[in-house]
Amino acid sequence: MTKLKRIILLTSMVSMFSVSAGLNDAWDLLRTTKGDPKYYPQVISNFIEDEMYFTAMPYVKEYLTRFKNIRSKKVDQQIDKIITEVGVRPFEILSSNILDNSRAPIIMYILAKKNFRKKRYKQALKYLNETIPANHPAKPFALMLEASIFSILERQKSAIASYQRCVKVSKSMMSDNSDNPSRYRQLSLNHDYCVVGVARAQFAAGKFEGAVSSYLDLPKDSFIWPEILFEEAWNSFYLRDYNRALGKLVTYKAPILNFVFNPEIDVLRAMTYMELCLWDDTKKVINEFYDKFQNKSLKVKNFMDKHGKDYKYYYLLAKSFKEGKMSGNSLLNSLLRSIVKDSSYIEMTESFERGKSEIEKIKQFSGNRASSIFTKNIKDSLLMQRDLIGAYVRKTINTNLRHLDKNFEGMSYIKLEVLAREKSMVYNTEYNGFRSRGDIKHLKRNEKQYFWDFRGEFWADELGDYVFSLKSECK
Amino acid sequence: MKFKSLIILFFILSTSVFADGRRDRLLRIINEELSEVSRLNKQIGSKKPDILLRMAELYLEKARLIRENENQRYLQIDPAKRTRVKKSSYFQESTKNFTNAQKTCYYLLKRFPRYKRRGYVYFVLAYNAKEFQQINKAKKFFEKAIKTSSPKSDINRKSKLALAEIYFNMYRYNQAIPLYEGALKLKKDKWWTKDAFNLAWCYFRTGKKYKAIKLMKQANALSADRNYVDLRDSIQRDLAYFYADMGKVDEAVGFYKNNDRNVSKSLLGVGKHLMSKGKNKEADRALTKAFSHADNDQQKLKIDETLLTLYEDTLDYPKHYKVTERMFSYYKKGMLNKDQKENLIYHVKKMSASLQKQVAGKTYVRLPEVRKRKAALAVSYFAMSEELIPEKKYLSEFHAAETNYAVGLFDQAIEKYDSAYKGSRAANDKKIAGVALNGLLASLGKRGISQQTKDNYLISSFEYYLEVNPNDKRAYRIYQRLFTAYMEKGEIQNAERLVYRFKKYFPKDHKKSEVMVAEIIDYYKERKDKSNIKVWVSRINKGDFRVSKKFAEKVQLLLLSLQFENVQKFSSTGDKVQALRGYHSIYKSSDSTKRAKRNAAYNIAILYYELGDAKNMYDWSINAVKKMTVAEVQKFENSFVLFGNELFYQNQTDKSANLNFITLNKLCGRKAKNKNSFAKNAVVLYLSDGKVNEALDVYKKMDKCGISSKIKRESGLDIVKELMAQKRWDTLLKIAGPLENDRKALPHLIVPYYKVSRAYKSIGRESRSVALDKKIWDMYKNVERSKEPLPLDALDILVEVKLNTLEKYEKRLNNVKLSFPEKRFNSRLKSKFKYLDDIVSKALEIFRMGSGKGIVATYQLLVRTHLNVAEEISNFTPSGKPQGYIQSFKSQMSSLVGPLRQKAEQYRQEAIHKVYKEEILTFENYKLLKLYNEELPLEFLPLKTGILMDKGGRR
Repeated sequence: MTKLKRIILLTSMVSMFSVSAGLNDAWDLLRTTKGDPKYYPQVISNFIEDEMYFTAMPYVKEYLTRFKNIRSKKVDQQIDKIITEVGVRPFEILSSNILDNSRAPIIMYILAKKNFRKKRYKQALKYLNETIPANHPAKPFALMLEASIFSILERQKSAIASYQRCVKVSKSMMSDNSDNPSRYRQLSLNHDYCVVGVARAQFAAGKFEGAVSSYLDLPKDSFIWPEILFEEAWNSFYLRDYNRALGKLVTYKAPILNFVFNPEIDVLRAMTYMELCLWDDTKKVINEFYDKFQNKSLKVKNFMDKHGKDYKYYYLLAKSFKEGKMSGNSLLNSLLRSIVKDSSYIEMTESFERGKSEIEKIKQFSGNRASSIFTKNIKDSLLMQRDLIGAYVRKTINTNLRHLDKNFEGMSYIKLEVLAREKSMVYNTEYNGFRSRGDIKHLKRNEKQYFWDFRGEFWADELGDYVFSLKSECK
Repeated sequence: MKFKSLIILFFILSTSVFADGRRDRLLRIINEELSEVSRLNKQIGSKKPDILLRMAELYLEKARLIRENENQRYLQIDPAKRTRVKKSSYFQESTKNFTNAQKTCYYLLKRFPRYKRRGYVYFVLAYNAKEFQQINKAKKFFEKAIKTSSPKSDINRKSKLALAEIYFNMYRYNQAIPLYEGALKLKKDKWWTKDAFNLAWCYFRTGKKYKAIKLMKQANALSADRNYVDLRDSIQRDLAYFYADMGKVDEAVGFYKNNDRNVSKSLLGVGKHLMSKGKNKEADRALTKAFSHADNDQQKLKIDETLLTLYEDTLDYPKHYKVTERMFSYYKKGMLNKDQKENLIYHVKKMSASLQKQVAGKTYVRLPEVRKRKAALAVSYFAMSEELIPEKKYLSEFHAAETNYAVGLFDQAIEKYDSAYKGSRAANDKKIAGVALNGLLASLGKRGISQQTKDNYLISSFEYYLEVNPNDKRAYRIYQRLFTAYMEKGEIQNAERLVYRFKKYFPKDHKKSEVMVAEIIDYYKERKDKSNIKVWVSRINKGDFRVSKKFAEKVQLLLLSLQFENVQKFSSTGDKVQALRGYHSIYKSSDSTKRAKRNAAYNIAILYYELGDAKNMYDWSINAVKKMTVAEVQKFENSFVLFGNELFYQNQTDKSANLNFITLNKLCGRKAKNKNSFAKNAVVLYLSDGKVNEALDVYKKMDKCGISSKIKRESGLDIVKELMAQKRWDTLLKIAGPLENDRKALPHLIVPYYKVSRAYKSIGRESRSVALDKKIWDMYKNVERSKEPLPLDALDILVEVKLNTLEKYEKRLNNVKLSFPEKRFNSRLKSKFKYLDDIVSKALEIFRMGSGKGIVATYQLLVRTHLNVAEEISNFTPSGKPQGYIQSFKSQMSSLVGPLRQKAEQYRQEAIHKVYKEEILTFENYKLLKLYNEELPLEFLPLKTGILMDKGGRR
């Protein structure tokens, strides 16, 4: 804040040149008020007028910091507007104390999210409870958050109700934002997550049969369908429909889904084989998994250790990958591929791009002094945004590496279990090497499911519908 | 995802002996597991105790599997080699894994002291300790496992069972019972039947027999369930054992019937089990019952086999024999398989050996009837053994023989020994052949064996023995016994062959062979079989047999007596011509023995002597003495003295000398009484013929023949004299040299040596002469010392030498001429007196020699020298001196001259006195007696010359 203050003081000493009205007005006001924060709402208003949201963001944060118990509808609207445009992440990094100064619905959402992350579900619900109007842009996301909390709290009915409302509100707002692709995509994603949220809640409640149907409500063209396919596999697994689970999992081998990085797919596959007592298949999956990831994960870890918290590097790493530059480590490539396809990453980079467009606008601003100061401010914001993207990339990679470690552990347990069972067989009975595979009579399906026998080829309309027909060798 | 059951202890517990293939598969899996667990543990940084526990369990499991394999390998080693190998090297791999398991557990307990599954960890440690035979440690850990695990947990139950099993194996049933009970009530897993089985045994062992039976029945019922380990075989066996142990065999039978089991088979099992527990009485009952229920021969056979073992253990010989007989009858019918036959053989061997040992031992010595019964039983077993092991039949026969021998059944023993010997020889079993033969011979030597046995076996046994042991100590006696046996049987040819064999192997034992030969000759003598006697005499003469002289003589005499029988008759009746004829024919006969011939020659010589026929007497006596043995010559030496004398009398000195010398030669090594005479006669007779060389031959033999020193000295001196006469100086010195050591010979050597000395001198070999002279004086001194009488001629020679010396002094005295000046005169006068003193002292030496001739000559010299000096002094007048001086000088000298003259007179008187007193008669006497009148010497002349003595014999 001190940095910002100093800049404002400087502005008072230079003259302004006319450009766009909003920016000029903002500059005049800053100059005339000598940068007094209490006039920031007017300044922010001027920025919003010129759609200079990133330029406004420092002033919003400054205002939230300087003033407690802001109870101005106008300011709330400004905050809503700006956060909606730049995304919640730049504000999530603010402490809850600062955020708590506002009662803006979007701030409530951010606070709920922060509490959710800290597993303070009740507090999170409190922030969400009746604080976000039904037509507020954050409403669909708040509903999803609320549903998730209910689900975690095992209040499945409430969760499902919230998911269903979320679906409804998201859908409604999608139609309102059809001209805003970014916004539309966010809402669409939210909609889809809420759709599967129902299935997830059912799954969590142990209603696997119901979950199967609910999962099928998510269309295959959904952005999130690839990751949901895995959940469906789990559901089938819990339904002991192992051939179907394997069918779901084999879909990930389709080239079209190569961007999906989820090591747990292999873990589930191994487990499924294990449940069918197909020890060799299980061990094969496990061994391939180790072959595929073990050494590479160590290299990626070393790579991450080497670059520490150099967020700019991670930003550039993802950016260059997106632009076609691949690394030598296939695991890192997979991770980056999944990141650049990730909706959060896309949202953040789009936001970042928008911020950069504001700089162009400022360059057209006649007042050199003002231009310089605004550019400096926006650059600070954008640098922060860049670092946020870099941090997201880093965090995602690290999270995936942690998952990978967990999965290594899981794989080891599976292998040990397989070996234990195999040994049990040797101890108790004579081993019979013969086994028959691929018989349709071993399949289980419901009315929504089709049966596609996987023959080593992937067809778009068949994806997710493959079913294996392996006979359990359990005795 | 949740990791399911980590614990695999079930596997560990249930691991039993696996086939190699299966074990390898398990090891492969366990290795994979270990690899995976290690990876996982590394992945999570050893943060999960469950993983460490799993690792420990896997190490333990792996160790046990490997140990099984190692055990198999170790047990496959040849037992002899196994004792030498380092056992631990065979168990390295399993030990390493056990240690790893232990280390992992200790690490786990240290790092996670509050680990909730500590019970499992302790269980692994306990199991590990058990594997290392650390039972106390294992117990401690099992107790900890029980304490730290939930009472309802599986590990708690397993620990209780493991601990119970330890107590069970330590026979601490009271401690095992609560543990088994606690574990068994928790869960009925597949092993429940097995643990219940053990618990039932605990009950049984602690006297809770009804409880034991109840639990056994429960386990029996559950064993029929597929979910449980089927222990029905063991249970039903042991249950019956319980019944049997409680004396309820019928209940056992009933139990088996109820369980549709073969009663006989089951009771057989019970019987075996009871036997294994030492319940032999009950076992006997059960097995007897089993036999009565047996419905086929094979079953009966099995029972009989067990019964054999039982009776073997209980030493119930009668019952054992009964069952053995039954088995033997099966064998004869061809019903026994290989194992059964081997078993039967084992029992037959064992019992026969055992009985034999008892029979041979001291235990039953005071119980002869029992001993005999046992022997009979043993022999019966051996009889079976003969048929069961035909290839070793001889061995069984031998043992039977030994047994019979031990109880004094020698006739039977002999029969078996004989057979055993033949069999063992055929089988080339030298050891048994040897002992069987020993037994056979020993038995034959016992009293009380039948004549028939003796007739049948004695000779053959001896022949067996000699065939194998022809020259040992025992054979020595056997030859004699066998010889006696042959002689008793009149098998003279076998006896003769045996004598030769005996001689071959005991060539030095002439006495025994002589006895045998004598018996043989006696045999022929009794039968007046001259030809065979002659054969044997000839064998003896040829040296085929060395016999004692006495025996040889006896034999010779026997033969001679046969030959000389008639001739002696002629001799005794005085028919010398017939006798001579007879002896001549004996002498000439080719049939005559040497002895007969020399006997004949001697008798012929005697006859010629008696007839006075010197020539023939000489010839035959020479012939006889040459042919006769030394002993014979010695025996008849007087005859030969007579022969020699007879020849001498008949002037046949050379023949007499020859006969004496030949006889001496014959008797040279003997202590013959006439040996000295033979020697002396031979020398004297040879010398009388001038045959010095022949005499020397005799003389040279004297030492060897032990002729007396006196005879030898006399002969030597005779020879020396003859050599001196023949002037054979060198030979003389050779012969005389050794005689110098003989003090009695020494005086007689002086003259010969003097002669040699003179001979040397005459040929100019002065030094030798001087040396000999010196020797002569040394000899004289020795003679003097020894006080041996010195021959007169020798003494004269010695005195002559001494006088020569004295004369040299006289010459020197005379050479000293008196002259002036005064000083010279005094000096020379002094010299003269000095020489006089020397002469006197030398004269005394001659006097001491005692030679009359010497005494006279010496006194003469003393008188002469003293007078000569007196004259010279008296006649000396210094020239150029004044008269007064001269008178004074003369006056002084007269005081010297007077005593000198007196002394000379004194000497003369002494000499005369000596001549008269000692009757000295020499040619020099007159010189003393003539006094001062040189013109009228009185010389003694004997009336006639001496007589030459004839030594006799010279012609």
